Amino acid sequence: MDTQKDQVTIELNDTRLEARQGQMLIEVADANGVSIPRFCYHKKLSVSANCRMCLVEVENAPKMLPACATPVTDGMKAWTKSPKAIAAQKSVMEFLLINHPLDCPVCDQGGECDLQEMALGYGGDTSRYTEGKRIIKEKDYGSLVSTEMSRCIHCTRCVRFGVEIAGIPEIGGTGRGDHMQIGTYVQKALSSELSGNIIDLCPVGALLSKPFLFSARSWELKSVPGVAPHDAVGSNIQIQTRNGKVMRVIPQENEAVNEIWISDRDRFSYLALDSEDRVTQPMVRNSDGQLVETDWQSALEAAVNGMKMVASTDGGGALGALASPSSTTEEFYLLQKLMRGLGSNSVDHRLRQQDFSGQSDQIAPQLGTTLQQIEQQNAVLIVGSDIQREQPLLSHRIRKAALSGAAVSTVNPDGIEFNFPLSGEVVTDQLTPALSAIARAMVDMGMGGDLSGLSALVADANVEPAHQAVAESLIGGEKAMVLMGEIAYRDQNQAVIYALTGAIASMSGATFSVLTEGANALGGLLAGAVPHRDTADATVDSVGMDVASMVDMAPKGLLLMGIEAESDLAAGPAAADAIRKSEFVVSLSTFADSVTMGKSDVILPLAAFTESSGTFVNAEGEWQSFGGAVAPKGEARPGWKILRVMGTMANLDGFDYNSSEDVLSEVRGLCDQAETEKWSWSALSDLGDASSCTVASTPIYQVDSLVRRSEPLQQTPLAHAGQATTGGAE
Amino acid sequence: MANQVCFRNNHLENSWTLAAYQSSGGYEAVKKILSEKTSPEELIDEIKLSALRGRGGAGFPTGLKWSFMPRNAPGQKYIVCNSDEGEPGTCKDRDILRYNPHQLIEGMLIAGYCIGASAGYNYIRGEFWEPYSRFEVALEEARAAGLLGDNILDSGFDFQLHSHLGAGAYVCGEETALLNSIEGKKGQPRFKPPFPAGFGLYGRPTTINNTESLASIPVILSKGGQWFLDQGLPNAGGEKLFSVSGHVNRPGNYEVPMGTPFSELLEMAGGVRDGHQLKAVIPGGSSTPVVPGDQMMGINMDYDSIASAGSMLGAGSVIVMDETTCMPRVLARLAYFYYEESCGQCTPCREGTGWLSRVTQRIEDGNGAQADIDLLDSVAGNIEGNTICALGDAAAMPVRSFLKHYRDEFQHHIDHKQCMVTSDW
Amino acid sequence: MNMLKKIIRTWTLSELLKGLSVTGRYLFRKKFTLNYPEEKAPQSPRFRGLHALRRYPDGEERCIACKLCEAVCPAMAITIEAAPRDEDAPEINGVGRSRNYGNRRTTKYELDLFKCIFCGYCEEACPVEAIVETRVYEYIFDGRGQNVMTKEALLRIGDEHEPQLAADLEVDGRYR
Repeated sequence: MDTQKDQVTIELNDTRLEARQGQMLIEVADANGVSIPRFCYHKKLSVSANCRMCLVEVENAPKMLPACATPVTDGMKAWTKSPKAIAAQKSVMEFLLINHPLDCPVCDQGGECDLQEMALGYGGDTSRYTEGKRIIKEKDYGSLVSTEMSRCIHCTRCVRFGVEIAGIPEIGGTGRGDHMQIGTYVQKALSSELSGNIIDLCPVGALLSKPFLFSARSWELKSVPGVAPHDAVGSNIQIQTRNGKVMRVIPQENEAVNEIWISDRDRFSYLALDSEDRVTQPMVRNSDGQLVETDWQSALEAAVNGMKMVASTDGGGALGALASPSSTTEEFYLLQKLMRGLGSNSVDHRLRQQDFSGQSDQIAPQLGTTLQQIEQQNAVLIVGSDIQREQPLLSHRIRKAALSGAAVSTVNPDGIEFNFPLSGEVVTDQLTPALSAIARAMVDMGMGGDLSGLSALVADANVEPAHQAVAESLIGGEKAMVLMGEIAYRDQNQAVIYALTGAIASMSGATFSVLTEGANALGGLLAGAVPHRDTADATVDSVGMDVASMVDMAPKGLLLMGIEAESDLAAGPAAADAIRKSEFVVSLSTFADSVTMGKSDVILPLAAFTESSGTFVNAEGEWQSFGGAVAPKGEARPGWKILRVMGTMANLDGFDYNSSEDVLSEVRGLCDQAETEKWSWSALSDLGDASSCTVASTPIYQVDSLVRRSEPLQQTPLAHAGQATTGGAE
Repeated sequence: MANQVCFRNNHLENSWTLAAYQSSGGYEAVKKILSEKTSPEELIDEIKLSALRGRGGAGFPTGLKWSFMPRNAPGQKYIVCNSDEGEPGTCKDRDILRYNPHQLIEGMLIAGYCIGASAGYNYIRGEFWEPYSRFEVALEEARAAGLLGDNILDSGFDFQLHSHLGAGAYVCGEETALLNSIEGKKGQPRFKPPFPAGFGLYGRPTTINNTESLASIPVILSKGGQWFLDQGLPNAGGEKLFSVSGHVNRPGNYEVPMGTPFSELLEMAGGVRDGHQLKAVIPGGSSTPVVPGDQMMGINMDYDSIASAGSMLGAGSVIVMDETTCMPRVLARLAYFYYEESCGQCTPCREGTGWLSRVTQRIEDGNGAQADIDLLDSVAGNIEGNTICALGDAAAMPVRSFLKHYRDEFQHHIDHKQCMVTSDW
Repeated sequence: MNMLKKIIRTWTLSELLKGLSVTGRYLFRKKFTLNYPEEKAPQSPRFRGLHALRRYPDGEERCIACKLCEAVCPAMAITIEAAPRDEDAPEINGVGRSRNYGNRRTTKYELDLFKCIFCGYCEEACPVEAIVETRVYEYIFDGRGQNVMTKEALLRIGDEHEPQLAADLEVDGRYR
């Protein structure tokens, strides 16, 4: 239709190119492989045209024009390498360099510096500038970003990032002209959960990674693609290693997942890998109750024999297994296969969930749409989620939608603030009555269907204007989504909240999205690491123990995978007690926490993130596989290898895999055969206690063992803010 | 003939009051327009006929500028008056604000009517405290008289006018920086396109005019465009205010017809300081190229004539220098001004103005090197045309013109480490 | 004709005498041969011998751990580890702790002389004239592992030869 009209033809360096009306010259050049030097232009940020490096010659223009701010017009002729353009670019480069310290040898950006690279092409070999250079006092941006502002070339990418992406205008320029400084107005640490991205954005060495400072050069690093293990977005990353050690993590561009950003959690959690309490040797508890280091063979034998012993005396049902929700799909699959092989359905990874009464009616936690499509939503309702801290990059998509006009509303406990505008806000400690009221408003508007079990609850609800507004915005939105987050998922009334949220979504015709903790909750459910479902959603003959029952009943034999009981489980201390009560505990552990060390009979060192291959299924349902970037520390081994050997040693069939890919293809095959399920309405028998109060969200830098051990993350204001408001919740 | 447009009331007692302004036919033009509901097109045609060109420096025809406004587009539109008169040597707008504020208010009213704006801002330079207070008083008077506000004179036309005091930044005289400043942002120019006529104040269509341009409007409409045109030249009508400063006996603002010979203007200003000769003139404010005195004596004060001498009429700020003036010192001072006033947004100006200032100061101090003159010329050339706004050009043009006309003085400073014209070194 | 010339040349022994005259000339000239080790060959200021790390006059090591020598080394003989200078770093002549705290410094600088081909690229790449090659060419190893020069050893050599090194760099400076 209009596409034909929007097409324009331009001539760039005497080559005819097709372009879209309104595109900037630099975009057309980039798309066609014509390189134009630039510093301030960035495809994800607004155009500021202040570095002037991309000046090009355009026919009939009296002056050189910045390619980043010049829209193409039909018949436009431009030259990026004409003598005039080159002269302009060289003059700008000279200006940029006069006040730049040229301290490349001590600058971490050396080797990956835009200025260095452009200076090679456009800079002179000597300087005509003989005066003193500008020196700016070092500024403290907190524990993640190190600064050397004398190197700053004032491109304002970081300033624009703060305003446009992070949504916290923390950084700005003060002063005029030559005295202009980029800084945080008042000395303070950056508080955005995405602040690390300014390190990548900075084209020079003014903003650098503080933990990485001086530790390696870009040319020494080997880059291995990976997937970030902290949230359901599954941000693509590059793990950069040197001599078998992870030196840093940087984002990998993937427009469909994380665009070009990663959260600070994804970027700096690698620092936990060198933590002193890594478990690096298999250990077995001897008859004196002392843990002694041993070899793999005897440790594995002790583990398998112990578990078989429990199974033979008390039946397979006496065994239970708990896994971290950030385990890989392969690990989940082998764990449940091992447990089910030993005769137990008690496998679970939903560590922070408390109410399991509705589990059989619920589908796997997933987005129900793609991450990219979130941006196109017209109305979004966030139920019980501190989404900005829980899923930072998913929140960024919602922010984009909100900024382009979507009505975003929330039903949340008090004290949760977002970096995007909300059209409606229901602040409550009790999600059930609030959601009932919204459902009631919808029913009153004639949207009601069969609410069966919920009808009594909904009928009693008291509709206030805020509820009405939320209902109206959802119904009014052409593309709407209702997103249930971790706070709602962890609620003691989860079954009712889930049903109500689902009902609201289905009444308003909105996408129903459920997001919970960990990087691979969806993978865990698909692999069958839950008590009520086998792999690929197959039914089980008898439902095993879920997390809550395991904490209550303390199974005789326990297999723990990547768990720190006191911090990872909702029940915390109670869970630790249950583990202590258990007769035989095998821990596949990365870190030596007190419960593991104090109780476990066998400790098997588990490879950490970056050390193991595997697959995460993100909220969107995208299976993202990655390889190990470095060898596991000490004697640690990837979880899938440990579980495979345990399966073989337990004389179970089907454990002869050669690689994690073998495991993956088996799970993937099973899942692909299964029908894709859609959540359908079903009756609820138990309406729970509507007056129970919600629990707070897990603080952003407390979610898993890696971030808890990343010292720089713990020093950020965000880590302290989390402790201050929700410290009592754990 | 002189003092017929912006200064037409200056002879009255307390000329800044509403009563004084009305006594000389003030607000009649707007009353007539509002009662007769004259169509904006007609008014704009009249202004086009008058050949009024923007008095702020660029000399863009005002009527044409108004016709670019999407007048019938829905939503808020703005008229903004640029009274951020920061150009060294200029003080004409100050005197309009001080002695004839109501004429500006009337001009903005008419402008608002023509472009369909119901709100206007007058951005006044931060240092202008007295003009600001006087303009505020005038606004109060006009509001009390029902000349501003809703439903003005029962015509159904609403117009709100506010004044905004800047914070003393030269760059805020650049129209888009001025808009940013009104919006409460850092006063940094925006890149164009989009132009303010499409995306201006708060993202709405906006027209920005100089104080003198707007203050000329009521006179044009009451006396007719043809009359205004007849005062001046065919392509630049009317009278123009010239701020004559420097080495003259009677510095001040003079409103004379476009095309008045410079020699006449100099005579009005009492001639060059007694006992001295004319050496050089900066005809349009510090950012315009300098013209040697003898060349200047032969030209007229209008756009084309001054352009033929390689300079610009600019804002009409005539800086006269006699033979005792040390040109390197003048340039060092100017370069320092632009260095201090660069906003720091874009590279050539941020880095280049500092460089220019340091090198000119070095030459002035007698520490210059032989290569410095060429260096100055080259650095200025590299700034020129490569910046977002015109401030970069403004900083570069004086440097190049000073070097062109007075290279020998700079050379003398370098060679002999002393000045060739003044012992006061 | 040619035949005749040849016969005359042969019988007058002219070629032999020509050869002997060369020998005779050199017999009375100044001798090239050196009585090493009593006598040493003259060395250029650019002589590429054993490596050394230099210090600033105040005692602070020059090396800033830029790793350019490591990168340029064609034999991969250099290994560097870097870190910000921490507070516990030993004081050197009274500096180190306070003034250079947080600066980019090496924690390890090792040079394997078995790999080194003495090309001098490291010297050329160094932006601060830290790694240099001295005029020393007489050294031996009497144990395994001594071929790997540690930072301490390199600094010690630097300290020992500093006057010579500084003079050589001074001479060479104008060609850089």
